[in-house]
Amino acid sequence: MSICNEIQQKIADLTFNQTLQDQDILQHIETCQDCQDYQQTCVEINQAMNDMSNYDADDTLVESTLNSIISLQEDTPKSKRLLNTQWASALAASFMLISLIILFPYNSLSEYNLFSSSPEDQFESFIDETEYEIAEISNVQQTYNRNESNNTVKAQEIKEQIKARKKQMRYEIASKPAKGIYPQRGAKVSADGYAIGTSVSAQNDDEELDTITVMGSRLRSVDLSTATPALTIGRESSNKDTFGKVLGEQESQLSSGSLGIVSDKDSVFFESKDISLSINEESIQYQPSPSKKTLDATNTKLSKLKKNDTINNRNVGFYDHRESVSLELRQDIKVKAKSVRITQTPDEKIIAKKDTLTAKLERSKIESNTGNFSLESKEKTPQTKTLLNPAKQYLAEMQSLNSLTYQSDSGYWANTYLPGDSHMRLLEASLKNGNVADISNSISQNIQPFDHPDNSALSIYLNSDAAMVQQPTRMRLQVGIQASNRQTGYRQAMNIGLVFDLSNKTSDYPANMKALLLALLKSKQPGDYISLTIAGVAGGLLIKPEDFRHGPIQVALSTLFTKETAKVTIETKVATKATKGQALTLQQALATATAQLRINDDPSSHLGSSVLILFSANNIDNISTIESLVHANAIDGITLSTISLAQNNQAELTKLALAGQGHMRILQSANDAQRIIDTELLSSSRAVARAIRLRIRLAKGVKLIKVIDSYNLNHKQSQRVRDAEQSLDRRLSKNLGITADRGNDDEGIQIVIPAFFAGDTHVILLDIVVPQAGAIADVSMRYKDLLYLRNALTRKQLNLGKHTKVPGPLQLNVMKNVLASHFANGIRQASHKVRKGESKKALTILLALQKLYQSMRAQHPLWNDDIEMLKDENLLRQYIKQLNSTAIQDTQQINYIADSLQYISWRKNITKTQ
Amino acid sequence: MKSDVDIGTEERNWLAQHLSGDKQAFAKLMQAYRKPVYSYLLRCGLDKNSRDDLFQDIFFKIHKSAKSYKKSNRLSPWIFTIAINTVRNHIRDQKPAQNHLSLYIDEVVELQLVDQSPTPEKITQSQHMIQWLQQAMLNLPQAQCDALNLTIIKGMKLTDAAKILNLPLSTIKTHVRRARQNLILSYKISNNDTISSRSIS
Repeated sequence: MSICNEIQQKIADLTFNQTLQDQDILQHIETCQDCQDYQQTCVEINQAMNDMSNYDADDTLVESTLNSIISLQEDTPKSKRLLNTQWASALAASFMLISLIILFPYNSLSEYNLFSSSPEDQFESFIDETEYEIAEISNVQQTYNRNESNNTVKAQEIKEQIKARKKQMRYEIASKPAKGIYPQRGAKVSADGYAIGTSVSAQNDDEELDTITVMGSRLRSVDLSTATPALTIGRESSNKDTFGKVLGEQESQLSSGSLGIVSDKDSVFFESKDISLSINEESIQYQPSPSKKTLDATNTKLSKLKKNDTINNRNVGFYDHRESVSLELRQDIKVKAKSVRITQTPDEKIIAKKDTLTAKLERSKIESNTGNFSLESKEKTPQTKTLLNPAKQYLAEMQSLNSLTYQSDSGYWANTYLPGDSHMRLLEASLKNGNVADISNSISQNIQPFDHPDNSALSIYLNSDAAMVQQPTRMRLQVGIQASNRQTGYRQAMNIGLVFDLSNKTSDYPANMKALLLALLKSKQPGDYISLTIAGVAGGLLIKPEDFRHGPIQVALSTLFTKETAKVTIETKVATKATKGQALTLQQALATATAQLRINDDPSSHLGSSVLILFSANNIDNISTIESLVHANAIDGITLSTISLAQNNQAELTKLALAGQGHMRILQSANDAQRIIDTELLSSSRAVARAIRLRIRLAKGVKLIKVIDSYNLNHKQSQRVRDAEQSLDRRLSKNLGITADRGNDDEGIQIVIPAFFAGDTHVILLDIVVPQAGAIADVSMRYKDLLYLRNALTRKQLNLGKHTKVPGPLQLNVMKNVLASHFANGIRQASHKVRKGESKKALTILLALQKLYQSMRAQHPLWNDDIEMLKDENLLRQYIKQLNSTAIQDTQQINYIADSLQYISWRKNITKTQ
Repeated sequence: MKSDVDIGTEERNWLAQHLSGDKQAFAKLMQAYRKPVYSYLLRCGLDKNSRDDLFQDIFFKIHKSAKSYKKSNRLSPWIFTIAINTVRNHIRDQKPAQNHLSLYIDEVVELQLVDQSPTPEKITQSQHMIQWLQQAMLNLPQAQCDALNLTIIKGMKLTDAAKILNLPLSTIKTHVRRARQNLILSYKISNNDTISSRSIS
């Protein structure tokens, strides 16, 4: 450090009233002009700061504030507590306890009417309470017909009555229709709350007065004899295809996939998104048996069920329409209860009823004229006759340990957090101009159950989709990263080198150039340095940083473009001007701009403050050389961002922007210039953390199958990641005083994320095999916390026990994220197929996804009404409909569908477009 | 005349007196802290409307949180902890405006280059300096700005600032030094800019 620097540091430490005492320093200052200037500046700043301290609030402001506070103080009631509340509660509780102890031995409680004066009132009070509970659950209006008694009833009778009522109410709650389902007169619910319609068994007749109408608009009663066949399903005896396969082939003919009845001349079944699992995705046996008036004893499992067995969803069957089977489906989303009643002709009085089908549909009841009995069937359907449920198939594949190949669990892996994909932003913009509803609103990343960190920039969450390990288990390990919502603040002074590639003769150039320069001028702040270098035509460094003002810009522009821009080519204009010298190549222009940046590169400014912005509509020649130059600059802290004016060079500019650790943006029109410049200049202020190094160390014996959607980097790629990380590290150390701590590789899987933005969430999923219970993984994350200007380290470990444990919401969340990744990949494949013109293949992919979603939702009660899954499913349904329609011959429409699918696949994994 | 120690001891009772219904107590507090708080807000680079709003906000918060103040602590750091948090919340809420992407617009508007910045001649030198300082402090990293801002306050010790910002004392010192160096540097740069612009015009 030179003596001047040393002295200037001491000068900088001086406050307003302090002066330098050291004679040597004073002597030096007298002789050194630089230090004199420095001291003078320091004094002026200190003086200004002191002046600022004398600023005072207006008296009116102070007065109004004070008055408001005093009036508030007066308005606040002064609660003088005579007794401490805790003491009062304890005293009351003690009193109650003592009273009970005294009264209980003498059985005197009955003498005290705790509810109300009359038994009827007691009953009323109980009902009121129950009504309140029901209203909370279902929010459905109800009517009651109560048997009222004028006689005085004894306490015991009241108790029984209340008990019976309570029981009844419970059933009623269970069968409450969902919100939006209106009461329907004429149908009743029996005392047990399940049976609907007039064919309720006789044993319930005496309680009919106490029934409540809960039939909903979703109820469907279909007389099969009049039902119009919509789909032909072959009999099992004549068609060896599985039921699901047949349905799968025909599913495209279904109108919407929602609740519907499909029948053919010999069979009928219902297809619903809620209970389709029980129908078209399970092992359903069917043989028409018109002679039989009861449920088929030989071909349905219902006949094999015994008393006290519980049937599962596989036993929801379909019946011969010639027996005039009526089929009713009632579903109640609100209380998670579904009931299905299948009734044959009244004279047969065979009533099959299934109640309280939970989303798993594991429990049900069957009711017949012989009485109620619950049934259970644990037998497995023979493989030859089993239709594989997509959800179960998917889950089985996810848990399969057969023929697995393992990867090394060390080294660098590709970063999957890429929020600033310019192509996707372009797609998003183009889709917004489409005729359909805004797709970007229809798709979103799954909301993760991660809290925003309070006292750091990032937090980490570690979960798996398994809750226990009792044997070698394949599972997904999820590493979740959540950024703080806070932003780092305002943008700081920047050093910008603009490079305009003018070798192409694009008519939009003048307007776009002007727009960009205007935007920069508008956004320019004190301390900003902006220079302009021209490539392709003579000129070189056209505007120096100190000349970047409106006057010199106007002059510079007039040397390049005249008002007859559209007619006159750049060459002729240049030829008429006195612009001297040889035209620079792009490489030379970039080198010139870099040299200019280095002159003004302030080591104390923040990372990303020195940036080259390349503006081009041309194909880039000699890209590998330029890439090396750009990469070297990036390591030195000078990043490169690119702005494309044309479609043909986007890939090349993206490559350069990646090498330069910058952004690639696309300028479609001059009107977009301000947005691009603002985004570019403010990009550094949105990042809350930099140089994030994620290390995932798997426990001994745990094997890695893959990191989902990522890949292992080769030696060259790893070296680039290391270089970039160390460059960030050095720069942040130099600028913000965050100690440099990078340089060594860690053990385990390493992922480096250059920057993480405020409010973002990201999950990294690993497919692993765990041999036994115990430690699974240890994850640590080191990063540069830009909110608190420090090195931060977060660490989490995952241990799983061997005790039986049901997967909870966290495990389900991991499964849902894996499914979302599967969804995104499927959609991406479909997009490629559509673009290739293979719409049928795309349709098959989407149909498979739709089926999977339907069955997955039925797999777990928490997923049954999951809004995100329903949203995705709805989107699939729309695309299936689109692809099914014959009117997609138009190339533009095909491209639109492909683009939107591609966008959806990307958007599913990214929080938002940056 | 009361010494600083007496004032320091006396001010610790103001909030308790205010809670017990003494109307004068809060007036005394406001009188003592109106200038430090307001000038602090000024140094944060806030415009007048925001300053006035936040000024009221800070004193309302002081009133609301009066119960949590402990007499054993000094009042000034407690008040500035409230102030700094209020300003931070305000800054956080002022997120950069998101411009909508509007592509495929065929019409290109003819653009005029206009210099919208005020000429230096129109403002006095001292006002110019203060305005520049406000802007320059905005451009400082938040941590440096906070540290410098707090240490300027009369009577605020570095240890108090460290406590308020929840940072080690050495870090505060570093932030203050870096903030000063950055300010001096950017002042020199802006001066050079002004000189060069004058020479061009």
